[in-house]
Amino acid sequence: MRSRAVIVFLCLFVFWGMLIFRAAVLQVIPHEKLSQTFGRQYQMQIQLKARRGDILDRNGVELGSSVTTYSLFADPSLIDNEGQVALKLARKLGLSLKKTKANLRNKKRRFVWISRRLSKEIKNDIGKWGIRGLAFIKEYKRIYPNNDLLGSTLGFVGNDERGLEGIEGKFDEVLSGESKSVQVMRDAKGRPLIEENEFFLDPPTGKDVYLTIDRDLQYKLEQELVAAIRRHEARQAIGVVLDVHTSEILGIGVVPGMDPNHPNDAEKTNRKNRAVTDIFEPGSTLKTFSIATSLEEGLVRPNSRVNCEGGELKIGKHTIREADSKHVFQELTVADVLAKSSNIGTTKIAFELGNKKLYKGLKKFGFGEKTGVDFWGEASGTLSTPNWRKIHLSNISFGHGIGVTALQIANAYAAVANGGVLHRPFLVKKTVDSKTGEENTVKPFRIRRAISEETSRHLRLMLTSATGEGGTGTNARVEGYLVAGKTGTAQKYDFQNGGYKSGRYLSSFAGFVPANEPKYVIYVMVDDPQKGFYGSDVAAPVFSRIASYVLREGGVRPVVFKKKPVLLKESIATKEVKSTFAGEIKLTRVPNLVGLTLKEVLRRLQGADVDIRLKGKGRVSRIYPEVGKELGSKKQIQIYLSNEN
Amino acid sequence: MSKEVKSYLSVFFIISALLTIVILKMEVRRLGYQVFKLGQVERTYRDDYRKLEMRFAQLTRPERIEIYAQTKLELKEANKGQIIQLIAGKVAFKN
Repeated sequence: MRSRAVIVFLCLFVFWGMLIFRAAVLQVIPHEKLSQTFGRQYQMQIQLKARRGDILDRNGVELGSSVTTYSLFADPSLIDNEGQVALKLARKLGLSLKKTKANLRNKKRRFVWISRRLSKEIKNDIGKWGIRGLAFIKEYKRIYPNNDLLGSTLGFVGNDERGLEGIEGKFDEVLSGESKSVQVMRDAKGRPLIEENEFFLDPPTGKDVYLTIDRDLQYKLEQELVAAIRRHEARQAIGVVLDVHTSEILGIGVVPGMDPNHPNDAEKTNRKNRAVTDIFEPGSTLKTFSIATSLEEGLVRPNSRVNCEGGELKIGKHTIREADSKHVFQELTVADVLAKSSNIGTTKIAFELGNKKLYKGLKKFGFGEKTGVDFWGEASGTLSTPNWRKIHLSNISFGHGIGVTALQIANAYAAVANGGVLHRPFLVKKTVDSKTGEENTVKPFRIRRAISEETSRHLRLMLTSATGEGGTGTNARVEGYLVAGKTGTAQKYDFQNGGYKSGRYLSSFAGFVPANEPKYVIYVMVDDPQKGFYGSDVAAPVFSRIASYVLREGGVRPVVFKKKPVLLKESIATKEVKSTFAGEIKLTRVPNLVGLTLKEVLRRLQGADVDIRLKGKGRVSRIYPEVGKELGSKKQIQIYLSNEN
Repeated sequence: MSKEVKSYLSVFFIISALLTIVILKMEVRRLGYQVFKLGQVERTYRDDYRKLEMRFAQLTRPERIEIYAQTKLELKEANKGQIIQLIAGKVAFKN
């Protein structure tokens, strides 16, 4: 009996011992096949795709951003009644019924796209159908809310949200961010289990890119370029606005451009930022730098006299004439050579300089090399080595036989305006990590000193006279401000066949404002205008309108420089100033305005439904009716400034 | 207390403790599902907010505002002489 009990005990002991041993082996000793099974049954990988960062202007206004959309796919093997499903989908999404049916009938495939990047509303509508075999994947869609504004600079992305052109392409890595892959435990229904705070993490985001561009300025610039094209029936127009001291690009317009929301609708040439990629012969706007070099070398002074040969100069078998045959100059000062844009005068100055010095001077201003701007596809321009014949030296001195980009010219004028220092132009002001707030700000980069401060000062004065009486740039004037600049009327070079195209011109104006304390450089180029072609008629007025806007928006004070007093006399201050606003503020009693200046009064009463009558100058000393009294039906307030009644 | 009662109580406490652990684990799991779901809802709201931001940017783009001002409000671009600039409260000139 006892032995039977022992045997049973031993059997049970061995059995349980084997079980415990097997359990220990499974738990402790690594087993590849079991690990794989464990992974398949209890673990899942979740892809957290990074949302592409935003592109914003210098004031934080959105220029490009990614929003969530839903892409519909089907598993044909799970779909019954393909015809009916295809019909529903085709009607809802505007698809081809034939193609949709064909996709759904292909039972060998487990995944077919039906439509990409649908809105949430459409997704919800289709979801309500409850059709087995249809499902959605979240994807991002890039949206540019300003349509074609700054289109060729912003660039665009492909289907996979990778940048293909422009800022999107150049800063693709920064904007894309890094997608994350997270391994999590899951339950029997496939739902992820919260462990170690994994699901408190947001999907990653790329960095936001802030441009130096001012969106409103950019709009004004492009509007003026469009108007110029219409007015003069031109092929295209380019405009660049830079900060004089830092070469930040405040505006860069290329018209016609493209809408990055529909890049395939635009011609290939319109997708490029031609202000940076295309080279052209600048014409007379380059004279500034030939003369700058000669001043810097000490060969001439602004009042040195130059023999302009009565409008005709023979160089070998070639004859150089002035741009306008009516311009016949015998002798001009160097300042007048620039103001009147004399080809012969500039040629004579260039002959004094010689090939090597002129070449060196132009190189110092950045011609013949890339500016280094943070943008794809920049052209370096063309400036051949200085083995020039005399005729080439002459041509180059007044802007032919040399190829430049619009950005190069604008940047070189910035060097003239800011005291002689050439900076690297840039488009991106900073990048910001929206999660951490970490900012990377781009600092202005000084390339080199192109000319001395003294030469810069001389040039600023000389260029101001170019927009004065007798100068070619009078149409570039801005009332109340000193404008410095140079017109350009260049014959178009035929790069395919050689030689110059008859009757085809590039009209341009390059300048900076205000000339006394430069803040902005503006370059305008109108390509192949049919109605008018002189830079003074075509490009200068565009410059004037853009400059006027930029100065007003920038809060730059006008200066008094006319013989006729610009500041109005005291009697003008007695003029009644009627409120022209929509009466947003309803006043019933006279407000206390005593002691305020006129500007403060106008600001305080802006939008008020009152009729204000002013007398005198200075600060408010008396008001009628008295402060606190009820306003009559006419709602009139008489304001006395200083001690006048 | 008799030895028997003590042993019954011990067993009872052990079983209760084990059951409590199981219930707490289930509760943690349930809350985990809720957190996950709320996280998805929060992300949906953020997506919606972003879409609204973009819609706002589209509605306030300069081209649209200009067209609205010119057609609905019948405003015109300022002509020469209509813009008055002030310096220190005085009218400087008309632009």
